[in-house]
Amino acid sequence: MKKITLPTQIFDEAAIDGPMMVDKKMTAVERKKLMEIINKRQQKKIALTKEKKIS
Amino acid sequence: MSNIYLLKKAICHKATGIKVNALASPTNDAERIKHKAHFSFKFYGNRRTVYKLTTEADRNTMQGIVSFTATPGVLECGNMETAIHNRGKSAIYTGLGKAMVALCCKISFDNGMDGFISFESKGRLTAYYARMGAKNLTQTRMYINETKARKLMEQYF
Repeated sequence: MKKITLPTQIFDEAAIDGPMMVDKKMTAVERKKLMEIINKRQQKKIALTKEKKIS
Repeated sequence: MSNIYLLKKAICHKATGIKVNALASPTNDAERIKHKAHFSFKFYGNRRTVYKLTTEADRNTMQGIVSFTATPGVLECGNMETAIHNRGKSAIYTGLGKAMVALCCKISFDNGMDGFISFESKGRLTAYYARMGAKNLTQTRMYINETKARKLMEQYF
């Protein structure tokens, strides 16, 4: 019979062995992409604060 | 980045189910070498800042370890690992992974990076991090934004 693995078993933290990440420096492309996301969020924040001040 | 943090009810004693407070503090190379048998990854001899996670009651036994570097706008995590005695079916404590991610978010906040963290996930663990609110930047490069970081932090700080 085929063994079925439930999602909870897959993500059971106790089952994680060894290092949980890969020690790798962010590439320039990845950094650029992430900075775009960060900057967008900051601009939204600034716009919201301005709106609040006006109202 | 030398603050000591208290994470409330962060890790769970598996046998009893009791959640205990964890303490996160910076660690040095000498201490990491002393405990190298408990970890597969070599956390010593690199330039990253390394924090250890211990229980509040026993500050000498490392339960988990996490390394990171502050970069403009985002805290870049190097690696993290739970101690050998916290792995598998006979683990003493559970919940360390999430607590260490929350710790990184807190350190990111405290150092002007708005809670943003980024890390290279192991392929099979992307879903595990996604459950914490991490998003994919590429297939394995993930990040946690300010909103998700706040949610994580609220659970421990």
